[in-house]
Amino acid sequence: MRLTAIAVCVALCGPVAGCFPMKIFELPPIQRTWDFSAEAVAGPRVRVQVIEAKITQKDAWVTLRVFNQMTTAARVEFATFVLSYPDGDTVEGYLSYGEKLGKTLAHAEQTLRREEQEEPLVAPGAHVDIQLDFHQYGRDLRRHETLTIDLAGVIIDGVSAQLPSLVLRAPPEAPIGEHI
Amino acid sequence: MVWALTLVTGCAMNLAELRSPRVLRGGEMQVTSGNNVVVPTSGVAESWRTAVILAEANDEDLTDDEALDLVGGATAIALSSPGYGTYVEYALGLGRGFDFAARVGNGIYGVGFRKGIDRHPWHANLGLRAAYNGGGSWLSYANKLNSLVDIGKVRRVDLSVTAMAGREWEEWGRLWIGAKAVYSPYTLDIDASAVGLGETSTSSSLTYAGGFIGGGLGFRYVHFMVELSVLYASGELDVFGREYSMKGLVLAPSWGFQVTF
Repeated sequence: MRLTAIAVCVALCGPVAGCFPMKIFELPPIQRTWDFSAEAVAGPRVRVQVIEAKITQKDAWVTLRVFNQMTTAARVEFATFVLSYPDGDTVEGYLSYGEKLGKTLAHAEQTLRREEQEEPLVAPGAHVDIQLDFHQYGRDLRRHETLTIDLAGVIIDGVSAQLPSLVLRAPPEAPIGEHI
Repeated sequence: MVWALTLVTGCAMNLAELRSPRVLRGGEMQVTSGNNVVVPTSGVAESWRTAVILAEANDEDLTDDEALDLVGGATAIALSSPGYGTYVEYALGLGRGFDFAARVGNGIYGVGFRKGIDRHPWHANLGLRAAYNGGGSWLSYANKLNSLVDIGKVRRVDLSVTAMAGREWEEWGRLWIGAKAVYSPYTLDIDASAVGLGETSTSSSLTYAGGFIGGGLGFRYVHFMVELSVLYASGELDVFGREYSMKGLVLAPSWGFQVTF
């Protein structure tokens, strides 16, 4: 009888596992990805807008759109990006694998055509997109009100674009605090 | 003989943790495909040996005393769950330092929770697990023994408390040590009519206490984990009025692949 009671408890644990502890310990919603947002920033030559910022525990997947605000075509290149936590810890960001693949194919095509390998020019008013991945281990990127991206890695015609930092903001419903 | 049996059996008690001490964060998921070998030693091993030798002998010549030893040994084998076992475990981070895990394998169904302390790269946790052991084909390897002693309706629950600590080396390495105590109440039916002892049922409990050490290597999503548990088992087994000791060391090496995403 005692064994049967224990077995029933064990069997019931599975289905209720998702809600019982949540009520007892006020656990946050089990959401792996939060969409952060950011206001566009502008410098003397380009404006940068966040198209998408998917923030998971270990990764920040950020798609940026860089608009050429000049009256002449510009060559837009990208170096290393750095994302900062509010406490100052930093994470380096790299081109996403899809972006790297696209650039590699483009360079291969240029090589086959015996063209010089360089980024194409962006016409006045036109834009170019870039997908970045900031990957870290040991902390939780989702649990911060803001994450800041240093845009010094945006290079226009060989010099830094002189852009202010981009501030990603968590949605209001996102739980904040790494202890959560 | 005992060691040979250990290698060929189809079911084993599920003692492995085989997980990093880092409790999963909210929404983080982990799937582990675990393998473990359970090797009881000392008194339990002696009971098996006696049972196997008697079973291999001509059963018509067994004295009552030998028949009792045979039945006791066979039952000890059932309870000590020697051999090789596999399981699959799914774990989910619940947030606030809790994670939940459910494992299925070899007639064992278990659920557990862990509460962790995160001082990255150092981690520690306290875990509770309840598992129901439905028995299964634990005796199919020893046909002769099985034909003489039919042990059916094995109902056993393993309730374990685990404390573990260790560290992670970024995304490639894990190392942990821990202590574990297991309380296992059980009941089983024994049909020893073939050796002239009739039928009976027995219920009692076993306890295990000991420790384990383990580690894992891999990168980012996939790791290979190994672990060794060493526990001291205690408890008595009463079969047809005769008591058998279940005391002795239990060695349980385990290994498996783990995917975390």
